[in-house]
Amino acid sequence: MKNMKSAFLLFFTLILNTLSLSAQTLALDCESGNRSVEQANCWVFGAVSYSSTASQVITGTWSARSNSMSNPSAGASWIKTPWFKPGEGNITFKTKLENSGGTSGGSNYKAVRVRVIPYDPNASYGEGLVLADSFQYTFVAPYTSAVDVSWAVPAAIANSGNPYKLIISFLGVGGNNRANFDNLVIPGTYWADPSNNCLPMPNVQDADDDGVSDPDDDYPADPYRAFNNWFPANGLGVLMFEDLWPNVGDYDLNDLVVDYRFNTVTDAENEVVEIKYTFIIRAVGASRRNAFAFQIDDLDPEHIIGVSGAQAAGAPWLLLAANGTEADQEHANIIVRDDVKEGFSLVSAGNLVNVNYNDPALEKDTVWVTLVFKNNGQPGVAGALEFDEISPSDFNPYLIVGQDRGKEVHLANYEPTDRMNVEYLGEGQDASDAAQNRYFTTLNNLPWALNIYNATPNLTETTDFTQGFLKFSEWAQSGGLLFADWFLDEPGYRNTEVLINR
Amino acid sequence: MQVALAALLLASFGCRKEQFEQLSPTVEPTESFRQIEAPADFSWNTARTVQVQFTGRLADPRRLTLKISGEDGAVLYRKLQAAGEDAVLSVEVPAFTRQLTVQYGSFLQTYPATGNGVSVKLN
Repeated sequence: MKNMKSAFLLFFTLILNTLSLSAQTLALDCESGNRSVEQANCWVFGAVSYSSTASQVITGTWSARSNSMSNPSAGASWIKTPWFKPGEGNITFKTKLENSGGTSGGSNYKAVRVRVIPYDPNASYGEGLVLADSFQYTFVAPYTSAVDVSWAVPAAIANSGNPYKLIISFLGVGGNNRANFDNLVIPGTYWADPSNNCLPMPNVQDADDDGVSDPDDDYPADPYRAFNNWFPANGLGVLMFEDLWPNVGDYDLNDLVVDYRFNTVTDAENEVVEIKYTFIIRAVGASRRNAFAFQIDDLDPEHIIGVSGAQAAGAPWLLLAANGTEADQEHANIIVRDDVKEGFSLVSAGNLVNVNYNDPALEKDTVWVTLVFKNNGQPGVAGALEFDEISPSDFNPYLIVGQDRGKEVHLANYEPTDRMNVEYLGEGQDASDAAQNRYFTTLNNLPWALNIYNATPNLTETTDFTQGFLKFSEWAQSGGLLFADWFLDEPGYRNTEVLINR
Repeated sequence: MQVALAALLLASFGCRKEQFEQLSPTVEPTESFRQIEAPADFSWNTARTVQVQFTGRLADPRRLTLKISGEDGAVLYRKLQAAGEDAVLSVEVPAFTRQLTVQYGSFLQTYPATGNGVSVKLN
């Protein structure tokens, strides 16, 4: 019985401690040693300094020190808090006097008075008239021993949702004495804006209470989601591939053309919840039955709880792990389409798709793929993925040539996957050199694929890429210094007669 | 004397023109993709990464949305950021981006993004 009681008390204490640690508070402990630090965060000091003199310090290395408390005015020596939204509980602090001077005889006294200032947008500095509710602690003997002072947040302001300040004044009559002050703790939420003259931050709603205000929250009713992070930020990008690798082809870069955009959804912890991809397979200027996939470089596939929407089934080389990523891969790989022509009706193996004006336009094949990283706030077996651990530059898309799983075509200098047959590297015109981290370029550094930050049209069949995008070669030859916007639809940038996007 | 001065002036103009040419390469367009002679270190990227260094303000307890936008107003990056903490962010932008706008609460500032780094300090 005794052991059960002890265990209960221990458990109850732990819970209380946890609650106090998790409750929001406004605090002043002076340990910065420099009032400027607190002033930068909207604390104001009127004839109050910081002291590290041993006899004047209550806790830690520094405490606040009032001016001489011989003035009964509450405006002689004071500390004013930033704006805050009061919670409920007790306002606490520690204080003492430096000596017993001015504490006895007649009307002599020394005191600390706490008053509440409401926000009034029409008043100077927004400070309305001090409320009637106030508290005063008058020092009693032993004067030079620190005491813990506590005052319940007035019911009228606790959890009201309105911003207030406290002004803590050091006052008295007679003698020459100063107060030392430390460890102020106020239940409530800091609500000042140092970037806006220390006025209160605007009132905002946070319906799902995830810490992200509703105007900023893309999911204001979902506590497990907060932000959409789109790439490209506006509109679609486009991937264009040549499939004759490791040999060069006609450089129309339309053997596979895929528009894309993805959204990395994060939560208030800045962890990835899901990534939602939209792939629009727009054109296939190849007779082979190629596949389309992507790797997220350096991403442990165990971070992914599940994959949905991929249209890959039936290919004999297809091998998926339980979570839907491709098996036997160190980094996360998703096979989007194991045969890109399967997304188009009435297409035979040799038919090309949407690269000739003379051919009928076929409806584009849209594939939506979702990678799930957290379910109801819970991550996968590899733990949560921080948003800053992943970047759009980790997106490593590739074409799989003619159902040969070991033959991949990637963007210039993007690494092949673990299922790549590395014997292909260096064949034909390919000048890949793993030791130099060079992949999928010719000796002259020409690529077999492009990732364009804009859904530009593609070239008609067998038309050289430079015939359609008139500033492209200058951009490349200048190392990107000239015409970095070559893909935009600016005057003189395109020959529309050889460009197509059906 | 006047001839010498004129010669000196002409020579300095020539030097400046050469320096300008070095800064702004001129290349001729090619007739085909195969004819392109791209520098060996050219990555063919139409986007680039800009590092944004966010320096927190000591003891500032706010936790607000940090938003980074491009010149067209498109949101490039968002996260909940503690005002008192430092952060280094990698933001992917179109290669031709010249400036980024950073917003944190009422703090709003535009920075040149022509290099690879932006430094943000709250007021």
